[in-house]
Amino acid sequence: MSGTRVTVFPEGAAARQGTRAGAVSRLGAMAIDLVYSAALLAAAYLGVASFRFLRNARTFAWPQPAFDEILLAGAVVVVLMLTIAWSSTGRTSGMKVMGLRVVDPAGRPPGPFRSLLRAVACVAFPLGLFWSAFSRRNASVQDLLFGTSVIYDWRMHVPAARTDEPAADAGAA
Amino acid sequence: MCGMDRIPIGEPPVEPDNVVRLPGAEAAEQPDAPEQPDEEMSYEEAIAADAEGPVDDEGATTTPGSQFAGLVEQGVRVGAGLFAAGAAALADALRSTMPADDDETGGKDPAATIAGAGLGAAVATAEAAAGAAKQAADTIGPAITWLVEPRFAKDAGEMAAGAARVLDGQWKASQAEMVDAATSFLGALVPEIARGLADQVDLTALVRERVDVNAIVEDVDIDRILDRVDIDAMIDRIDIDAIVARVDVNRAADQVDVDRIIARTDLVAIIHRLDLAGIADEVIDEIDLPRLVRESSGIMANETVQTVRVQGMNADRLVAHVVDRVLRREARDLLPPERESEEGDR
Repeated sequence: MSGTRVTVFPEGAAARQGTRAGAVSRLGAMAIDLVYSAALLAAAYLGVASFRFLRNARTFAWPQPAFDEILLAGAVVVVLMLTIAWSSTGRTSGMKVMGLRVVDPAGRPPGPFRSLLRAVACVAFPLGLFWSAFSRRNASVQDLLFGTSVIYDWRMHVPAARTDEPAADAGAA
Repeated sequence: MCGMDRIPIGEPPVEPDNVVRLPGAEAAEQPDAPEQPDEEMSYEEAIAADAEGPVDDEGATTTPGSQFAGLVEQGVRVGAGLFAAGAAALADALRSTMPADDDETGGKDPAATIAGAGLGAAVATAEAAAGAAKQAADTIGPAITWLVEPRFAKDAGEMAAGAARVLDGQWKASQAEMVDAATSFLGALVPEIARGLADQVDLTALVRERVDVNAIVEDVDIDRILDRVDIDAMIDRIDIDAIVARVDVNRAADQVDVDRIIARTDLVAIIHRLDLAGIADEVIDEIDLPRLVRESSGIMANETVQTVRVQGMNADRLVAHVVDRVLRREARDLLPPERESEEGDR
């Protein structure tokens, strides 16, 4: 993390820092997160297979999970990934690429519990994301449920205290 | 007559009456005095002896006798001239020995007066001597042949020897006094003459014109001179620091043609002597290459990511604009949540 580096924004991007992000950016982030989740799922599959192979190589066969099992495993992976990402830095890998961050009403990354609930809600009802295209505040269904917001935030550091002025420590460590 | 070599013998007897004789000169001419009666007498005899001869007065003026007179006259004139020149120098010498008292004389220089008087006397003497010599030569010519006869020569020789002894005694008596006088006189005169010569002669120009300096310099053994020079001692006396302090090194450096020096330098040979591999290793060790690769790739990724983000922003705004147009509502409230909480819900 190059915390001391001052971020140089392209024209027009600086003014929109900290404002609520639109549906397209969020969908892009979600797409990237899906790919990332699929990779994690595949890794998990390989891990299980390796475990099986090591336990009994003679009787080893590639695991052939049922569709339900795959969905469940995928849901667990995605929820875990989203919960950890949001509660720590406020953003997943896809959101980092798109320069987005999830914040609570105080402007900080949501807590673990709020993050878990939001993650479960996202996995259970992904279409809720599209509401952001129609919301006057670019809010998805999950945002409305848990009081969170998704903002443009290209800064590398995580916003700390709610009393801090977001613009005051822009670009600082 | 023949025999020009005999003429000088007859000169000393000539002594005209109108010549003013100085007391000093009388002693010098004393040797002639005893001979005069003999000369007078032999003159009579000579007249008689030469009476039958073809020589007359008219012929004497054009014969060697008249030439002899001319020589005598010229000689006296030259002597007088020399005397005059000597008198001028004598006047200066006398003046230098006299106490400076120009006011008493009213500007009139006694030395100059004395010198002028001497000069006038000399000129008068010279003219009188010239005239008398001419007359004497005219008349003495016939007597010359008689003068050289052995009998007369013998008598005259005896008489002259006696007179010479007397004169020698007189000379020896006064010799020391006269030598002292002459010495003191010359002591004052010679420096004056030397000074006058120096004033008149430009020695530098003379040397430049007459002396081949290059030839002299070629003969000089410079090595031998240099052997005698203690250069170390000379260098010890030179304050080299002071000289260096006065040198404008930057100006001198500006005049150095560095390109030319580099052109003469064998750079390849220098490079071969360098441990390039070692230097390269040190340089690579100093460079954090992984970090450099990381940063450069990070910059590239950052540019790509920024492009995607900006396009996402623009797409967000476009979609929102379309949706808002469709729903016929005003622009969205996109203030950040913390500011929204500060300003209250709208």
